[in-house]
Amino acid sequence: MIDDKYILRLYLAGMNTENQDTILDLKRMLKEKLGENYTLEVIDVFDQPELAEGDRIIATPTAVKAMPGPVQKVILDFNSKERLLMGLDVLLDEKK
Amino acid sequence: MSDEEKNILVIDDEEAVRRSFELALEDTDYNVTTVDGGAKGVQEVESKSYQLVFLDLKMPEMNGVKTLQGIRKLYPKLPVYIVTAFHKEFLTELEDVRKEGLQFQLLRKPIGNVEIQALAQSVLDKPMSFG
Repeated sequence: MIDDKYILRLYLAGMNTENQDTILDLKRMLKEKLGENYTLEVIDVFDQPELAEGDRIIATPTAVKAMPGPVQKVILDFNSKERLLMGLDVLLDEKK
Repeated sequence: MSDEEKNILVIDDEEAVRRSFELALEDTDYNVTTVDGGAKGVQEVESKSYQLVFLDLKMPEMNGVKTLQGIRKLYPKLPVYIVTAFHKEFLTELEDVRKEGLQFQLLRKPIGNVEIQALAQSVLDKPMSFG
């Protein structure tokens, strides 16, 4: 379990049923890895494109690790749980 | 997917944009095909196996929305990234396909070589992190 508080953001294109299901999968994976030690803000680029611009998001779906630094981003694959987990591992395993 | 041939299709009416994708990906192992219109894009998807499509939103005759609808009739899950600016005035053009529940992702325009490579690698190979 990791002690530092993780602040994460997830940028996606639309809040359809499939994306909502994937968010639930992602939260389960995060809980397994980080316990309660994280916050995840989900941002729909259609509703808040200015936030995506501010975070210099290049594509959806992208996860951002805002804290602990350095800021890192990973483009996720929502088409399989295995690849979703791979993306999450890459995001969280970066050297601080 | 790592040992299979990976084919990328770029559908854009602007030659400079098509060329920029080719240049960005020329040193990779991915095969890049470009076409200058939506109808040609749908034909291409029908004729060959693609693993990733970059699709311009604003094109004459058959625009990105109609092209996506055509691709989705053939392949509901093929990764399609619609290339557009992240501004509401452009994004509202995608309202119809959102209502239809068609799957697509967004790629910000303008985009550089490194970002194109990062996206292609993330979709076709291993996810990578970037700052």
